[in-house]
Amino acid sequence: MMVAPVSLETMFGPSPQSRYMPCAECGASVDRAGAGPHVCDTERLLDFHLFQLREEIATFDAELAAWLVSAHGRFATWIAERDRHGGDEGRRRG
Amino acid sequence: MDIKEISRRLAEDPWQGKLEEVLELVGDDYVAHVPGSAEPFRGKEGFRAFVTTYQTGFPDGRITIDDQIAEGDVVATRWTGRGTHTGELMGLPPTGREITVAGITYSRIADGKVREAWVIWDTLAMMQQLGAVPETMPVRTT
Ligand SMILES: [Zn+2]
Repeated sequence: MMVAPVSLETMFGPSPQSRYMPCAECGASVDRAGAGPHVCDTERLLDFHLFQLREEIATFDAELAAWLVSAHGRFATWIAERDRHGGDEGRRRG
Repeated sequence: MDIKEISRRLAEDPWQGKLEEVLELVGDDYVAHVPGSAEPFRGKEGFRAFVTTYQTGFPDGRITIDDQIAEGDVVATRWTGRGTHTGELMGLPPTGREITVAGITYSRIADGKVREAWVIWDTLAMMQQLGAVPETMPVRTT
């Protein structure tokens, strides 16, 4: 019996594709064969974006910490503390 | 404990913080054949190394068992793995993406311990979900 060859395209379509793919906005695993459209969870959306920015956040934290112990940073901290206490005093007087 | 239960625990328990306990179910002569690894993983340390590689990449990972069939000393377990890629996976930087993959583990179990396993899962789908290979690829057809 002759069996017709089956092409990859017949089996998989244009190319093999994963049934699940992460949502580009929130990173959640989405079943493409599932019923109904995917709706991003707000908390997950925020977590995903923060995760993408984790290196920038870490760099900013490190730079801020280094600046705070520099002469400029210590002076700015002292000024801020003085103003805060001055503000408290002002509010108490007012 | 029957061989289905042993296979189930070997798949699920490491992802529930019970890796050390589950090593009691791994024979010293254990050999695991996995995709993408030229050399099999061997013994309890091989089991630990394999699981740890994926737990590093997917710290919140979970395996759920979909189906099992057993005959004699062999058991086939069909499973689904889910996890968020927040750690480095074999040199692949974390992406924050959540993935879902399907797989089958075919195990030979004797005297209450797994002796040999063939762990097959959809590695292409995993890599597509991680963005490590294009979602669509040119396929040469005849
Ligand atoms: Zn989403």
